[in-house]
Amino acid sequence: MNKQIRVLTTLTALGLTLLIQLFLTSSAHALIPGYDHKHRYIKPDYTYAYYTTTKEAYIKNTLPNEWGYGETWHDNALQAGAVMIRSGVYWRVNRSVLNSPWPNNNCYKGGSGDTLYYRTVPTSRGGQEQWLPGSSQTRTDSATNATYGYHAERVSLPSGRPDKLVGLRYNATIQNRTNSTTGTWLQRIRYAVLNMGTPYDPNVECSQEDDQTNTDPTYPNN
Amino acid sequence: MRNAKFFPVFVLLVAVLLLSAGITIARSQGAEPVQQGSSDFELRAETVNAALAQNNLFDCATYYPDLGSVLPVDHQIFQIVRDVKITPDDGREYMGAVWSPDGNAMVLVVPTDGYRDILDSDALPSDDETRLVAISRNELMLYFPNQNVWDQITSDGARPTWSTDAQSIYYMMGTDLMKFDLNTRTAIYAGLRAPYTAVGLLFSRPLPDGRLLAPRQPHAPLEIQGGKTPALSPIEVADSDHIVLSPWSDQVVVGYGANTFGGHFVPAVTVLHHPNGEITPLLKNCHFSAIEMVWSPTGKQIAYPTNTDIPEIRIYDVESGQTRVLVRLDTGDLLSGLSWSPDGKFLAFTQGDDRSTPRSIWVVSTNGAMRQRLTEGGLLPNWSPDGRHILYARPSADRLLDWYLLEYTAVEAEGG
Repeated sequence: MNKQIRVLTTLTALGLTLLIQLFLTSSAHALIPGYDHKHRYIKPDYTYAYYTTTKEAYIKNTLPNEWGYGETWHDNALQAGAVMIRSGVYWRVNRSVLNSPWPNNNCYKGGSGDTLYYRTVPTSRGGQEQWLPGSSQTRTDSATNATYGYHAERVSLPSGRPDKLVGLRYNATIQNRTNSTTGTWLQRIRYAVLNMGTPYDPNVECSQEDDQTNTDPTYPNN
Repeated sequence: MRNAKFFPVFVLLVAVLLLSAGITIARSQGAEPVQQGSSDFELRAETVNAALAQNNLFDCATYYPDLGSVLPVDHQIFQIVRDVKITPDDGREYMGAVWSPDGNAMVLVVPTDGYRDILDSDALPSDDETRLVAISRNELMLYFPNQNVWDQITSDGARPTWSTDAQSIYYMMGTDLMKFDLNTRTAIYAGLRAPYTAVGLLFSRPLPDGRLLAPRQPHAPLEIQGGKTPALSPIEVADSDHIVLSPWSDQVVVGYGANTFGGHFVPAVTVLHHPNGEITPLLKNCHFSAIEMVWSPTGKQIAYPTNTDIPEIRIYDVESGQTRVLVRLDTGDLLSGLSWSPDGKFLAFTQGDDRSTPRSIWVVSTNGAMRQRLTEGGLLPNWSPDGRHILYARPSADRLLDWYLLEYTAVEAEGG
């Protein structure tokens, strides 16, 4: 009888452990969008090309062009760049797939139904961002891999929002600032975006009406 | 107690079921595996590996010049006579233009929301992280600057190419080669076709003599179709690549994009293919430069910018194999959109990207003697073949670009 109870207790504990593990796993990954990034790119022959990329591949084909890959770029600055681009991609994918009602920020502006996509135009062809297919580099790939999963989140879930994601903006000034300071990638991001002289707005990407919070995000990797 | 015996089994069963469901959902949300095409891209891999084996290849990842800037003297070379916006406010997205050989007309590509799906099996083998899924259908619009007249050529076309006599325009309608006659204003199927694959849809392009650069079968390398004397050996490309044909269609620069080919990272490499099938490796880790390369009107030189830490405009001489630096900035401004003057004496280009610094269009003499900022703002200069105009774009509030035609006179006839 005792043996039977022991077996029953062990099995119950095993089952409960599995359930708890399952619960923890699902909630831990809930903020990382499970979907790929869909976007439209203007090719050099001036036609549109529609791509689906993994989120990490999107970073790898953006980082060398937005930040750089030469010897003047510090590894930690490139890692800061990878985290900032990743935060933007997570935000865009989740905002668009989940169609968050507030703020007004469906980032996939083109298409309809199941053909929604994000519009990306290289700066050399009149756009504002530099995703170029086939442009990944060894150093920037390493920076992306070294920060795998790290992204920006708000400390608490705002009312009416599906998640705590923060879409960090970047422009040439911020890129250079991540390189002109010292420290880890986290310290460099904070230096680059928190001391810009203008209100730090972590919710601005794809947003028409911004939440003007100045809260410093957290940077989990799950 | 009897029921309690089944409780742990029940709990385990629920856990396993939930786990299976979770895995199924996670799989359905993740990237679907890309089926490998019938081609193994062996010819492409052979070319890329041969190029990468060259030790002294110019490498944008490691290039950092110790020398100072190369900035030709600021000097007024041209005087602007007229600068007018030409694109109508009709909601269309007018993109790049191709001038007629006589400079009397141009064709603009106007992409629409319509698109063609790309087969999964066309993806580069093992590069399942970036998938091209569709390409746009595009209008082709004909414009006559002297009359300020617009005319639609087709509602479905790509890669327009003028015939040498400027009487016809060849273009691709999907995978069909079409010919538009300017006199009759009608288009006909020109008798040549590429297979319906990503390579067929992306890379097939007409030549000015009515031949077609395209694969013969699905997944086959690019070859020149039509006529008896192919000017190029077969070239295998994948959808991460970019090709730039020389003016006489006898040489081609291919920018092979970086990818995870065969599970290993392969850097971008740029190669010049000669008519006899030989190749000259040009650049490594410089995919931006490959996309921005432009042949000189004679086909003897190739100009390109680098987006290295210290940006440059470089000119490669095909006959000598030598490269010279025409411009080396003292800032990190983006250099792009190069265009040769028809006499080869000047290059127009865009400096800046409206982010760190405003865009502006410059001209520089190709002998390196002088340069001039032609416009504040603007990008994508495109020199007319008659040497009288420069077409260029400005970002617009209502759409991506508005196009302007700039008429100029030479203040001082000097150049390379």
